[in-house]
Amino acid sequence: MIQIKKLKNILILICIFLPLALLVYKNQRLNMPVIPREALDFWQIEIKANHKNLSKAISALPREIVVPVPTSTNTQTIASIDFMPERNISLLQEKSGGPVLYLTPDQITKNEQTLITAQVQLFELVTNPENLKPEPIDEFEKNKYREVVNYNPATLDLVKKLAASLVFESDTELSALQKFFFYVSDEVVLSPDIDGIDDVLSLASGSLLGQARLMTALARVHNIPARIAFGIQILEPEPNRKSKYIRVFYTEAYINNRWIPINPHYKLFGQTQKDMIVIHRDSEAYTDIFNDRSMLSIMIEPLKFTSFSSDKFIKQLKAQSPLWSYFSLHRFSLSVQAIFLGILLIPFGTVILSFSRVFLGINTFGIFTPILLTLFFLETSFVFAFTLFFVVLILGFAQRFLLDRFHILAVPRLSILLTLTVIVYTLYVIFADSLGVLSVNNQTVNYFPIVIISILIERFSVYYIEEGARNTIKTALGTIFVASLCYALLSVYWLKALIFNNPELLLLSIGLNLLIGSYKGYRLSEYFRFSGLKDNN
Amino acid sequence: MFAYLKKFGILGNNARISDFILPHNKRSAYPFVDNKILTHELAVKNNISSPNLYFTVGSYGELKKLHTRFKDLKSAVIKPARGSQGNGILVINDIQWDEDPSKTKFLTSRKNTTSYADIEYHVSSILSGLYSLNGEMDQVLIQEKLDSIEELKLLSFQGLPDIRVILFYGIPVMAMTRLPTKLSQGRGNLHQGAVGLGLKIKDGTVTGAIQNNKNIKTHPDLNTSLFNLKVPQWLAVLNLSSKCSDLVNIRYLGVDIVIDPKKGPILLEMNARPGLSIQLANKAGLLPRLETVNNFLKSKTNAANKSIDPYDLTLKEKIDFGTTHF
Repeated sequence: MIQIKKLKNILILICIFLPLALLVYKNQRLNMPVIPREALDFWQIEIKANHKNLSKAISALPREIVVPVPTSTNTQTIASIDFMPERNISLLQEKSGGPVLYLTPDQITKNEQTLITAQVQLFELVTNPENLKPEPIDEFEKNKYREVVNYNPATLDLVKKLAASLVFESDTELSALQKFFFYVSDEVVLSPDIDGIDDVLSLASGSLLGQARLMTALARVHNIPARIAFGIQILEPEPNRKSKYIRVFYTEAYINNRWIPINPHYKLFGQTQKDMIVIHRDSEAYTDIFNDRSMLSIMIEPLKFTSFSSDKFIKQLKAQSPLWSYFSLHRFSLSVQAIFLGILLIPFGTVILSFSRVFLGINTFGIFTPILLTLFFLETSFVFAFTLFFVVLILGFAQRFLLDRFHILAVPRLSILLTLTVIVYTLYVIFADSLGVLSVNNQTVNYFPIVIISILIERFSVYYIEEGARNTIKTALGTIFVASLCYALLSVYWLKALIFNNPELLLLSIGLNLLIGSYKGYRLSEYFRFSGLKDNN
Repeated sequence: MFAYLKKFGILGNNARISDFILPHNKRSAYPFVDNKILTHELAVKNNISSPNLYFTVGSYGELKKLHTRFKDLKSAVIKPARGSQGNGILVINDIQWDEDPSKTKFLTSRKNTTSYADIEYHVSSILSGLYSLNGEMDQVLIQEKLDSIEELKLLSFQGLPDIRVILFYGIPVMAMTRLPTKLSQGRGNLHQGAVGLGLKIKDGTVTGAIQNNKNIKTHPDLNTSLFNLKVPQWLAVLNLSSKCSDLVNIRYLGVDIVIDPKKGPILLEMNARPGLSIQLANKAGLLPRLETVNNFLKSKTNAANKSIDPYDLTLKEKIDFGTTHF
């Protein structure tokens, strides 16, 4: 008996820790992403230039009006790009800082807006400056990026003094640059709207733009080519939703044929930033336009992963680990992947189910009906499936009052009930479609609900006979409750992606169920069930 | 939060399953308690008094002969062989038989007169598995209609009051009587609204009364006091229950017994997964009692210096242990 108990505990430990250990191993040793963000990291970015507000600004800013066009870099690939009104991308002016779209006064008056839509894929981060791609530029351009004539002489003087106080003669370009970086990142506090170098120096605080300006100026007075780059930092990557972001200015300094990104606030030197889309890399002249939401509005949205990214991911995986790539579900087409996404979730639904039964004492129709119901919720929509469930319950009650009097045998009676349900289901879909409640397509409408409803009706009728109306309703509510709980958990996107990409986590479900199954204590429902005992004390 | 449950030693559902039903009840023995035909055969073979079985119906083909088989019966009970919790049981109080089935009248407890067609429909519903434990095809028993002694009948609204005894290794550990009410529609099911009276194993007196998990003092329909009862023939009831538990390899067992005025205690059915509300009716938990039995068996084993089969205990030993301790 003790041996058996030991065996069970060992099994529980294995089932819980093996998948977690594998996860860590894959992530740390094989360098495989737990959730393949890199491959899935496709973003749609929309850059919209508002012509009306731009032309208002024209009078104040007597210079060219530009819209930045994102381009492929060390850290990102532009998969596609579209312009509204249409432009030919090959005609754009290409510079080392990336292409820009010039707007002539004529174009500005002709159209209300210019819209650039690009699909961007973000890569893994570059953590070592050595791994940055060399981007050779000629001496003329280098000198352009060393230019300090635009600075006000007094400011320039301050910057020069500061630079001199920070750097020794023995310092290389790189070590000098690092010292400037440490100075800005340690001494300058982030504070919005402080954009000018003078203010940053006197207040020891500055915006991202102010910090980038100071950092750039320090590099230039030390004769290192430097420029200000502009990007979009995605704050909360959320699937299927417009994401939050902030506009980021940072410095790029040119050393050893490479543009080295420097971002003092994020404490990044020579490293690229996570979740950042680079919009333009030579933005000094346009900072006021880029920084102004009324002139340039930007929206980003994650793209659902495409077969293209899956293919790419598989290739990437194969390079990292042939064994694990063999088991990756990314090998399948998207429709098959979608099915697996559902199947792999079922075991985790059972964990909730076990929990509700063993710890809470909630009764449900049949054992796996709530799980099926959850999948129904996930497949269609919560409201749709929820209402259908109650319609079926009402049908179930109604048939007992009607068909019972006709003396119809059980199986034919259930068959009639199922037919009625199909009729109701059909009508329901028609109404839902005409009212626009449900987008009817072959994903929302399929055989699945009918299978679930058939099982539900059978369970229901047995329950009704055995337990009576009151308990049947109680159990129906319990079923709905557990299904809703499962639904809430299984709609968490990262959880789905996690299980899909690491199917070995299924062992966890066995471990957790073994654990739950070993609980011998009281159920929450028993607290209420036996509360009559307290009366006498 | 569960302190009061612990204090009373209440056996919860999880512990009931994992500590008692799974380790002590052999799955292979379940058919003998789940199928009433098998229970009946086993009882007859071992001289345990159980209701007379008039006949059984095992297939739709036998429905043709059904009408003639009622010819000489005055009353009967129709039961599914594998029903649970009293579902599908139809009590016929009187039969006015006629050659012509359409003129035959049945007097049932729920409706006053019922046609033969209704009876046939009910029997075929049972056959189709409507009332069986997992919806499989079932068989039908047509049994003798039992009566109860006055003492219990006085406390019941229609129906048949019975006594449930819980036994652990053949030792009676807890008992109650279940009294039908208006709410339970004459059935003895506690969660359908029947009254449960906890009974002392020692002498069959009342320890507590509940309906729908709530304490009561008087019968909800009859307003009679429930606490004056002392179940007659109490030792005979305990003896019968303990003998029943010897028949099957189920060591945590519920036995349902009816006390007939003429025949005395009669085995109604057995249950391998007896419910837990009996604790509420008794105002006492099962855990300490089961523990007492466990310790008793252990001490016996130690004294004999060998592992003894609890079934080696004599009937008297088991009953004595129950009546002295509980």
